[in-house]
Amino acid sequence: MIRLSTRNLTKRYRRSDRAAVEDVSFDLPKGKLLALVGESGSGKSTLLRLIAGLEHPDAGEIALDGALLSSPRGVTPPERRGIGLVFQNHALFPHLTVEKNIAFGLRQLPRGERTAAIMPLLELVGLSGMGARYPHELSGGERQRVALARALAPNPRVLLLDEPFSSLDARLRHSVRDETQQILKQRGATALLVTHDTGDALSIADRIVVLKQGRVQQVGAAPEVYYAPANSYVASFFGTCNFLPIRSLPHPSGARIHCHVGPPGPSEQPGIGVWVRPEDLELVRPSGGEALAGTVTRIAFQGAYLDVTLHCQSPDTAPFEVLVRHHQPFAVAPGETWAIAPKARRPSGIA
Amino acid sequence: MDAPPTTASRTWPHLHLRDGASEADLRLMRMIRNKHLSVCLVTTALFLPASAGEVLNIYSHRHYEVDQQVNRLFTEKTGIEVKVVNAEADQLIERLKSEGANSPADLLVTVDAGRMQRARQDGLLQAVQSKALAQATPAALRDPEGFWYPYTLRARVIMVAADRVKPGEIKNYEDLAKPQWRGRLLVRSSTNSYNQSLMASMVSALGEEKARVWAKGVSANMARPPQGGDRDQIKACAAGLADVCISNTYYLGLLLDSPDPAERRAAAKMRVVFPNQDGRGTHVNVSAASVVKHAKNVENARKYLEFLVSPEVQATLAKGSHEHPLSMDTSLNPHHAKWGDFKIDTTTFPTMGESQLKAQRLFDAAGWK
Amino acid sequence: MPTRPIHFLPAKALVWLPAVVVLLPVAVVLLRALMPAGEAWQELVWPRLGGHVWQSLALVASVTALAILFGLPAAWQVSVNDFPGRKIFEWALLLPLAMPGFVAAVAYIDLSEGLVPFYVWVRQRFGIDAFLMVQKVSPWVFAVGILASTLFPYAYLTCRAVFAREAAAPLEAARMLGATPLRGFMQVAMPMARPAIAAGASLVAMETMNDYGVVTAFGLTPLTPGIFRAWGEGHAGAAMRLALVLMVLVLLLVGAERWQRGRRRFAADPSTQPLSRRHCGPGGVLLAWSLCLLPLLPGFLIPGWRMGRWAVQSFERIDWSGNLVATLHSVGLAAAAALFITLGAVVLVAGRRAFSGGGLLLAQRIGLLGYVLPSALVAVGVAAVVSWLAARPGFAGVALSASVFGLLLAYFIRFLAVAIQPGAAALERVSGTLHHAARTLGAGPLQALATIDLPLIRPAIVTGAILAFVDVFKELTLTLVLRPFDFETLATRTYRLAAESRMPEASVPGLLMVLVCLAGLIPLTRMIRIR
Repeated sequence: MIRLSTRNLTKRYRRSDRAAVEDVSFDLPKGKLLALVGESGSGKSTLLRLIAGLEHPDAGEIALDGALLSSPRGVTPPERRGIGLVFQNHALFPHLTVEKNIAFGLRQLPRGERTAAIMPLLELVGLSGMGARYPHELSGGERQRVALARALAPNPRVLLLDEPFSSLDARLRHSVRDETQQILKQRGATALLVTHDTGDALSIADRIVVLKQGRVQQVGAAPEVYYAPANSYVASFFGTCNFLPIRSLPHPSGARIHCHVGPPGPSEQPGIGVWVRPEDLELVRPSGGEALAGTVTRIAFQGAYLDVTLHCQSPDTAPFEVLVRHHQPFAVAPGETWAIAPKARRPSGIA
Repeated sequence: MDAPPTTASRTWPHLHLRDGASEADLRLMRMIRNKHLSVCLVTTALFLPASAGEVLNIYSHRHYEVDQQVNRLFTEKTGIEVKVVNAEADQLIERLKSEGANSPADLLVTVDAGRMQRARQDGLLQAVQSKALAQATPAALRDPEGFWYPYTLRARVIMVAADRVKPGEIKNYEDLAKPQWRGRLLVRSSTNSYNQSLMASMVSALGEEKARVWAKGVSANMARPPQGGDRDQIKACAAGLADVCISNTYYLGLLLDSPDPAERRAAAKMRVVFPNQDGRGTHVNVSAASVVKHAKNVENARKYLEFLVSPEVQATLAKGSHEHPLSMDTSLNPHHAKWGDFKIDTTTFPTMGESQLKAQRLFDAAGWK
Repeated sequence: MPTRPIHFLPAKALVWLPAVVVLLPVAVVLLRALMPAGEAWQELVWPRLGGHVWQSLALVASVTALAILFGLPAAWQVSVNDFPGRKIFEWALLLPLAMPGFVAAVAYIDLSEGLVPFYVWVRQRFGIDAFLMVQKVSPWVFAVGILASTLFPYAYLTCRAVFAREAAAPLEAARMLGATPLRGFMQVAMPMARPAIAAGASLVAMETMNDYGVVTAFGLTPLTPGIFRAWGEGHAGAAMRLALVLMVLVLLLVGAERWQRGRRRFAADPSTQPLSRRHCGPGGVLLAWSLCLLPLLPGFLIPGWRMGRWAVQSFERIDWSGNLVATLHSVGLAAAAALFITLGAVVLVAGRRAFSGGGLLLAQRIGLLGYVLPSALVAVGVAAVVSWLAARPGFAGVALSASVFGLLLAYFIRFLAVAIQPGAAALERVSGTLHHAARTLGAGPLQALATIDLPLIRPAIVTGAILAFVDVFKELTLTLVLRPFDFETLATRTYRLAAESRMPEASVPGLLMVLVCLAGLIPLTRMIRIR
């Protein structure tokens, strides 16, 4: 069942020749977590504010459970949408306690029930006993959880999260991210997350919408956008990628394997025939034949693996470099020549 | 509005410029100061015109347009250039004190006999004997030894709204304190020197206690807390806020000749009552001039004094400022003619300076703000 | 290891100089007020003290309350609502800052005369007692109304900053949680703006305490005119005691503001996103317009229009030479004062960077103190200092009656803070490492200041200089009592002509002042645009 859908949304700001959001359409099924991913300036925050009702679209429609919220003909004001929003800097009310912050959206409940509604929420976000504190007495992670609890309290039909982890430091953000996902799943919440961090999106989102310059590049589940990117932008946005000026990548066994190799899209650079992630390549002993071979020029130690850069020559093209993520069954040294082979494996269950 | 803070006390009472400093010293000091504070130099230069030839330096409290006219006439007739420094009388007197023998001032002009009396006591003035002055000025209104001479008369009178107050309903200053005028009287603040002079005359005439009771009665009759000047009292009275007010006569004359038709209409509604005509007479103060003790141009100053009391200047002043001339000739100004002749209170006049010192305290005690 | 070169010491002492100058009048007044004040205090001034204090408190309380009532809703409207004319109101609401209270009073004194028929009606309808009561109240209504409507922009500015920045995100959060605009205002914006309201209110209160022109125009006698009256009557000692009482009141006020600010420490992050404004329906537009015009009409439009009409009507009789001289005096004084003030501020601000040391922070704090010193206290203190100085051999020329030295000194003390604040704030944003980098590259402290720090904060210094210029330009209280004889500025000329009930003539210098002050608003409007 589709909870939230957008159709051909477009928003232009005055004093800007390019649309901030252009012709964006996607669906968000009930109970799912969707991530809007893009670089800064990609229009993801504008899209979020359009859905929240804080901005008005120039064209297109937003529907919630089939009912129109926004269209060029009219908009429902944010306070009547039943949509919750977790702000980037949390936007906690600095003059209210944690409890009162959470209770703010529960005004329709009688006073007694309000407390009853807050307690389980505090417990859910792991802040039992901290209800009387003020926001400035909390740590960053705690504030984020208060913001989440406050937005969840009125049981919104859709919860929007605007870069909710960006103000947290790296060590904290992983745990907060996982907790947030658990909390959302536990509440059965339908949520939309805006982030510039692909790690956030890949690890917790059920569905990912990739935006670039206001336009949707790809919509899909995490493995889809990672392993089957729609174009080179998506491919490189989600991780390091080799773009090779060859038609295909032959396996030392002689088989020509195309498995991890994306097809060149219409907008791609000319001459690029193959793109492949470094972890999908391995180094094998050169054995002549058709296999791609190169000389090791640089080795970077990364702990669990080595990033090995090889210089390759090809009769048809200019020399190029290939990056291989090498897990150390054997030693590699600069100056050695190795053959580069695609790994013939793909985790099952992901398509 | 209340008069802005004046006087004396602007300088630290016991820290005046030492009299011992020589003129050369002073000139040197000024040079040094000007070097360091070129801003002072620039700003000072703006209002000190350069000069040559015969001059007369006047410290004056008066700054009416007609005064400038009179000064121009004087220069035309005598070739003596007139330079005027305007300020409040108390400031001028304080400056004379601190400048001592170095003062550039030749002549002091104030609009209060009381201040002249005190300035004389402080030894700031010098006596001038002149037949013309003796003839032109009433003996009762000048310094007996010629230290200062009056040149215009300013009567402080009762004005009534002609349509609401019958002739004869109010006749004396003392009547102003009667309860029948509760909420019907307008008068300006007690910090004003015209009121202090009037109070001084009440003290001299009635004694301190009775004067205080009178002031309390007046204060109780006020239609509003004191606010604005004499002109404002007249206009408010004409508009119907009250029925009676206290004012100097020439303010009514100025309003009657105002370029603003509304002011002319308002003034036309008022009638002048010269108080205490059956008794000591109406309280009158004077514009007065005196040659300063350390004057450098005594002869020019005397010429100017005599010029001021000449019939021509007297007529100019009577027309221009609406003050009464020394001769009390009411034919010089049509408004004077309409208001009529009146008797001047000369009995309390000589003690004005002394009694003024008591006035503020009595006003405070009476609650007249 | 070479020790610190000895020639640093005089330079460091120089940094202290502005602070010492500021402290001078306070020290004099304190000393003198503790000495016996003579019988004048006992008999004349002491009996008036209660009335002065009561009037001061009543005036400050009512003006401040009304200024908040004017400024807060207007700031709310232009910050969160979108309506036609919003952008114009956004800066137009600052216009009353260019209308000094005593200039506006010129128009209202006349207007109060126009109310006479109403008063007469009250007397006929309700009797003499009601009439007298109305008469007692009406000067208060006028004085409070004029002061509040010309001072409310202080409250407007501080509140607007909060609504547009700190409160922006919480306000959106409140909307997302279903709050109506009214609830967002009452439960989120208002509590968050409370420190800003207090800060704006304390500025309004301070200006009210220092007012002389408006209160005397309507016959009120709070402390400031009371001090000048005692002084004018020749009781300097008593005047200084009164000034000390006023200082204590101001300190209580500042203390209350600090206490209010310190009670809860809000750590609201300024929003990165400007608040998205709510589109108004016809009713909303009407409300917004009324709330914006409510203070703007009495604070600028009505007095400006009234005086403009006078000026046009009496155009042929305008005394241009008198006005020109007064304008030259005003401009000369304000420019000279702004120059000294800016120099003093630069010395204090830059000195702290060049010679780091805790003592210099204290010097800067003292420099800021001038703004809370009541004008009346500065006036009596400066007068005492200058008279003492004038009595020294070789200094006779500085006497108050003869030169503008005392006046410049008083302006310096009173308005030094105006120039320090933007400069210090700007230098705070310039990283100290730049200075240190210059020093490690071989520049001396002064060279580093001149080539690195000062050029970087030049806009702030210029802003400070303009603000100081305008503040001095429209200053009345100090100018009135400390100017040399026969020396008129536009402010004193306006005041004198109004005091002589010559309103049409007073309108021209008044309008000239307003025009110059408008120019001074430009840096302020620019400051509210940056967000």
